[in-house]
Amino acid sequence: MTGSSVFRFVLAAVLGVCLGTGSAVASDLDEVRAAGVLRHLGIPYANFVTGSGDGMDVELIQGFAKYLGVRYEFVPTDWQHVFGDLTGRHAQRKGSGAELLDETPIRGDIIANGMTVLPWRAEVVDFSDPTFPSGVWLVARADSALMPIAPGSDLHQDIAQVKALLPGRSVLALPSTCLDPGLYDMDATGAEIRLQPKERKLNEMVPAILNRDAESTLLDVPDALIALERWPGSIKVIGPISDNQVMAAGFRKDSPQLRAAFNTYLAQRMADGSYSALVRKYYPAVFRYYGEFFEAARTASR
Amino acid sequence: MSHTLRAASRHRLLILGVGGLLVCYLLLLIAVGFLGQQRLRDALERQTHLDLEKREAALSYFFTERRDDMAMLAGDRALETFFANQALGMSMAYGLRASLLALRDQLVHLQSLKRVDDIEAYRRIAFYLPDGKPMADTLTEDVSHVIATQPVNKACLDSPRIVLNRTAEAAQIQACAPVYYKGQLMGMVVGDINSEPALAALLVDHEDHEGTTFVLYGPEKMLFPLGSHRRLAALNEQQLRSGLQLQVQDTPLRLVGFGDALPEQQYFTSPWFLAALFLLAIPVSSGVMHLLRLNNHNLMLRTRVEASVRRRRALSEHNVALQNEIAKRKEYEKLLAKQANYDLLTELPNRALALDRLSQAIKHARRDSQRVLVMFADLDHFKLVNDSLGHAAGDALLRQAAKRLTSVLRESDTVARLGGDEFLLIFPEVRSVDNAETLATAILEVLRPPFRIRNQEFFIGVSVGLAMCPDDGDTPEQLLKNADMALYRAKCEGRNRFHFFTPTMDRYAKERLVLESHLRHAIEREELQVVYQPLVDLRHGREIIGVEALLRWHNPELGSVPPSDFIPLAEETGIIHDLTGWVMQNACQQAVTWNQIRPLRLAINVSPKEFIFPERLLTTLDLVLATTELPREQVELELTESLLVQENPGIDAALRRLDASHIRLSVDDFGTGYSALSYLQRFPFDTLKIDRSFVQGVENNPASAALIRAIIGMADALGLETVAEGIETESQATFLARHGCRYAQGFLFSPPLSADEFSELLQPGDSTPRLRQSV
Repeated sequence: MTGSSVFRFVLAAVLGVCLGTGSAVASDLDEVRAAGVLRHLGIPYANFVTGSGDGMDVELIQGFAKYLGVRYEFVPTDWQHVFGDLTGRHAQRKGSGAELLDETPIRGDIIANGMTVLPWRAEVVDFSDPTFPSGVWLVARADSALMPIAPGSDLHQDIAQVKALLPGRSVLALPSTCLDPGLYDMDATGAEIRLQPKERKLNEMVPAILNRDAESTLLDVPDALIALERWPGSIKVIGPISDNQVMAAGFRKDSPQLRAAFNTYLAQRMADGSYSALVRKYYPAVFRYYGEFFEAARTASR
Repeated sequence: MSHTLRAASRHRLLILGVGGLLVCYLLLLIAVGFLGQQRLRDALERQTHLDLEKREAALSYFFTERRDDMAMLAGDRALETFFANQALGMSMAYGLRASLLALRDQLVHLQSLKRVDDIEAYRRIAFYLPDGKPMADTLTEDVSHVIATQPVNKACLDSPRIVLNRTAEAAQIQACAPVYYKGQLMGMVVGDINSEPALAALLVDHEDHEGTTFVLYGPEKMLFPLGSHRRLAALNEQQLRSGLQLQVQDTPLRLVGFGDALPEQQYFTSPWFLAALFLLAIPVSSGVMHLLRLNNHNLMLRTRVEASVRRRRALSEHNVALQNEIAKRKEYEKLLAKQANYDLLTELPNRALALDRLSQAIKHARRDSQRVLVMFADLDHFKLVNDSLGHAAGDALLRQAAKRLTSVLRESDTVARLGGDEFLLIFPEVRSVDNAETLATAILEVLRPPFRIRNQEFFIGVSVGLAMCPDDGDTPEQLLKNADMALYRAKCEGRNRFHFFTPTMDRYAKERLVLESHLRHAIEREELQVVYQPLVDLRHGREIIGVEALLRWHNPELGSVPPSDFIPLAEETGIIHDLTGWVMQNACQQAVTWNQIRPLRLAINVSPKEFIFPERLLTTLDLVLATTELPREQVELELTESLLVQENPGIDAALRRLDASHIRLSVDDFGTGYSALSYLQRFPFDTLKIDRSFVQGVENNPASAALIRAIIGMADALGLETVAEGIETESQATFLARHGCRYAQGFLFSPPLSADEFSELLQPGDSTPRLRQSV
């Protein structure tokens, strides 16, 4: 064995120990309790994680840390790294599935920032019970020639009506998020998809079309409801692009106990009404709009 | 008696007055009661009206607020957002429903916000399209399925207002306002007023629930009462019709108020109360009559009692006055007794008491064959203290002296103050002369220590004369007289000593008495004569430059009386003033005569006693010089040293006045007195006259010679002239001339001569041989 071979061996051993130790530090509930800290991975997004130290999901996970009897720690991240930060390996959508990429140190135990449950994401992480309803609408500037559809009785028909309006129309989209055009076969619509830079935030989509970056944009429902109140008469909802969606918290696949503990905690908060109060605080319009969702969740929890 | 009658009359008037006042008061009460009843009715009506107005104002304000609520709601951002999204063609399923939900939230918020006393002002708020279709309603959560529960009043589409919405079951008061979007009528907002609870809370005054009852009427019929249903039910048809009413401003509503009439029993002037007032007049009148009767019955009794009280009071006052008078008299008698027997200053027995005690002591002594010692004590120099420090200091000194004297006495002894500084001490039961001496020594000793007055110390000696009973007399008068004589002797012998009475004293005293009586008439009987002894200048051929006037007395019975005998007597008795004046008059007159021959210095002797009252001396001198016209510069007054040791500011001033008026001053008999040489500086003397005793010893006694040299040297140093007296031999004259004494007189030059003899001596060109001849 040459000197350089010995060096490489030692380096590999050290890295192995470090990585091993990293995954052993926070894998499941026991480890979280042993470490005495719950690390919350969050991407600043709308009122879920405001970036100012509060937000609906921040309060939710703080309550969870308290429920577990450990310290709460917020770990900021972004859409490109959020899965790697949780699982130790980066991932991205590939077609309708997921593609695993480079390894990376684990930085958190739970993702919660209004993350929409998508099939490819479900391959990378395990999701908790739904925490929030969602969906993706096409929202256009008020002066756009795009006219809102006349809804029918079937959601899929409504989606088809909207997509039928899109050929030649400019639409903003944001990869790696729920506004990823690939998720909704937007390429097939003949629309002119304008992908936004990765650092753009979801709640910046409406200001972008008002700024005439495009005629319309994909927008998740919670953001659309807030935008309608904020810019009345300036934008209009054309119709749905996606099926009904839900949001949920994400866990490593090897943290089933932590996930189960979260579900128990969530059910408890839904049952005692404190979860509804939390939603009303951050998303009054959404709470009103999806009254049935929250009522059903509350009833189920009881 | 008349006082009692007046009092009784006053009482009767008082009772009648009070009775009259009570009746008037009752009548006044009835009259005021009637008027009060009327006013109370008016007041109640006015109160009801005021209550009504107040409530109407409150209602009007309330409805105005509700109208404004609806008007503001019609322009709310939630409605605007909804219409904006609707105008963009958004569907209810995708977006528009959210706006409608937000609108409903706003309605719910407004409903919960508007309250009256914690009661919601609205039961329901809804938004309707112009056709009356409800779009959002606080009673229905789901905006997708809002059901029209009542028709809307189309008047609401005109302007914000309060309307009455009638249904089959009830009438609902509503506030409403039309909603416009971009100038187009889009619908209306309608709030159902939570009428009964909210308005009741607004109108009913809980603290005054027995006051006015209010009923709210629509245009046609009653809506609901605001207040007690029970009380409303109690109102009859007529009362309901007669209620006061007011239109509530800008509403289709009327407010009707029914004042609560007070029951008759509650009126202050009810018939029962009036009857009671009338009945009350009967006992009041009876009471007045009874009091009048009682007043008359008690009249006699009160008169007697008052008379008795007055007598007793007068007697008591008289007794007190009498007792005071007795006490005063006793005090006065005590004071008189004390004044009669005691000296008030020293509190010692006075002369009367002392003599009485002396009599008693003499009696006892005679019976027990014992002796009584009588001492007559006189403080030395007391007058000096009195004159220099004032009478208050003199009094203090006497008190201290009395205290000291008392301290050495036995209980049986007596010390009394006879007056001035004279004290009498009586010692009964004295066994021997030795015993008396011991007592006298004790008296001298006790007064020897200094007295302290006004922070100054004084040494006051005492001279004491002693007489014994029965040896020196057996009556108080005799003993006192003899003790006085012994005192006189003690004083003559130099003071601060005691002296026993001796029979020779008595004889001497008698001789003095004879001498004094002759002396008093000496001037008028022309028994006096002035003789003149020349004064010569030893340097200039013993020329006569002056003369000393000397007094001589020749009595037909007594013969020639030497000056040493009669001058002290004259000083003592005060005759000295007349003698001095007489000498001055004669000598000055004579000097004026001699001035025609030669001006001479005229020396006149002046007694120290003259300076006790120097004013008299100065006046006499001025008068004599004025009448005789003798130049003042020629006159020289001769004074003895004894005068100068007296601490009397008057002497100092008098000497300075004399000096200022050019009268010469000389010290006579210098060297024999107290010789406190400092006075030579203090007083303005011109001349020292060296006493003859020194001059006569100058030949045999070296000490005298030395003293003369010293005196001459000192006089030279002080700028004084020296005159040697009594020169009898040539060698004396030579010695004195050799040692600088300029002037001299004596038998060597001439004995004292009569005026005529001296005139001859002065004849011009003749003086010197005659002097020599006379030697």
